[in-house]
Amino acid sequence: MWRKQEEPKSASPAAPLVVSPAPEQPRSLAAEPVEPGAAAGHVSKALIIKGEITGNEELFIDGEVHGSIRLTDSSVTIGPNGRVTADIEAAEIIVRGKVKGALRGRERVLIGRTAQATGDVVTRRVAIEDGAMFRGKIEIVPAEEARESRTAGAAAGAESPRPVAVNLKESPS
Amino acid sequence: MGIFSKLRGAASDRQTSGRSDYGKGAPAVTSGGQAPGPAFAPRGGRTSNSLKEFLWHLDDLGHGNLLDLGPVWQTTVSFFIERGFKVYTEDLLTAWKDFLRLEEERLRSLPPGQDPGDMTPARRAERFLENSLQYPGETFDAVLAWDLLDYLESEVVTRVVGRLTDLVREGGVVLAIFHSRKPEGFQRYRVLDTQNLELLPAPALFPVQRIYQNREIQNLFSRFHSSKTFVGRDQLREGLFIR
Repeated sequence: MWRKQEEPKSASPAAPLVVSPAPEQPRSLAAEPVEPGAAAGHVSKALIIKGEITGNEELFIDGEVHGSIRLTDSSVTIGPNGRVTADIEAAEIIVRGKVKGALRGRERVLIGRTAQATGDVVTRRVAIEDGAMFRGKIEIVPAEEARESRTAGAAAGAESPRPVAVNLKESPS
Repeated sequence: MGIFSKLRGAASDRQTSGRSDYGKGAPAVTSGGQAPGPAFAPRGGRTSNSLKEFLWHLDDLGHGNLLDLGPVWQTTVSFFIERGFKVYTEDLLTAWKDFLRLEEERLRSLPPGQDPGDMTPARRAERFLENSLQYPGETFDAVLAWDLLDYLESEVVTRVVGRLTDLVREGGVVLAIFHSRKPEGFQRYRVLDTQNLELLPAPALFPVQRIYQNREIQNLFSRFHSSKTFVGRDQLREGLFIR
């Protein structure tokens, strides 16, 4: 009657502990904090760049850029103070400032709530925050096409030298 | 089977992110970035008969070009991209407001006595459209005009509808909304699912310029092949115009 409550059997120490691997979380397209310090390249508020930017480092732009930006394996973030008039090609493009130009994001494009973007977006995944201002076309292309674009870009890059930023000057304060 | 026929009858089929049956590699359109902007607060869904008909009309297309003349929303963009459409966005009302601000600045900056040029509403409307709705003819299969025609000057309205007539392919469709009486507030619209729109109160960009009667609406879209309107209890008249 007054049976002693059975204690739950503890796992035998000999029993193998099976831990299933945590499922890989897809990278969120939701808002991410702006961390200019995390980016390898940083165009600060007081800088104006005119020309072509290419390379393989992450880039944070909070200044002004005119020309073209091609970082096919890296990400480009246009900060809230950034003003970019350029076609951008990158693995990932995050817009929080003003951009005028075509955006080709191999993996994804995020248009933040403070963004004012004008131009066509071609990417595999797109995220748009409420309040964002966007004028242009949004076209989603499958991964295969995005990869083809990358390969074509790499081939083109091999043929021509990779220029660096030119006409670097301080903007008048 | 057409794409949208799969969707009919799914009244409660709220849009989910990442679902895609179209195209190789199933391009993902995620619903990330749902952080609410400061200016908009969702008010809830509203069943839209015109949206249902709009989608039904696009049934056999499967893919094409859609122009959204309201502000860009993830839900609307995802909704149509997942169905194989390329989505163009041009917030025409905001563009009109920006245009008027620039016109005002231009006039202020003129030296005293200098001729400001032709400032008639007709010429102003033409100047506005020199930088708006600039696409090749017959680019679009579908246009979401929402209620913007109620807020534009009549000279602009006739020109915008004229431009849309040129931009929409034969057989293409335009969805427009008109207020049957003066609205209590300004709102924006976005697609929730196959049968519902979401109305979002927003700071007014303009007061309503005109309440259009049915006959006037038909006259505006007289170059369209057919039109159909639905009047809701909330005094919104939804119109569907087929080119």
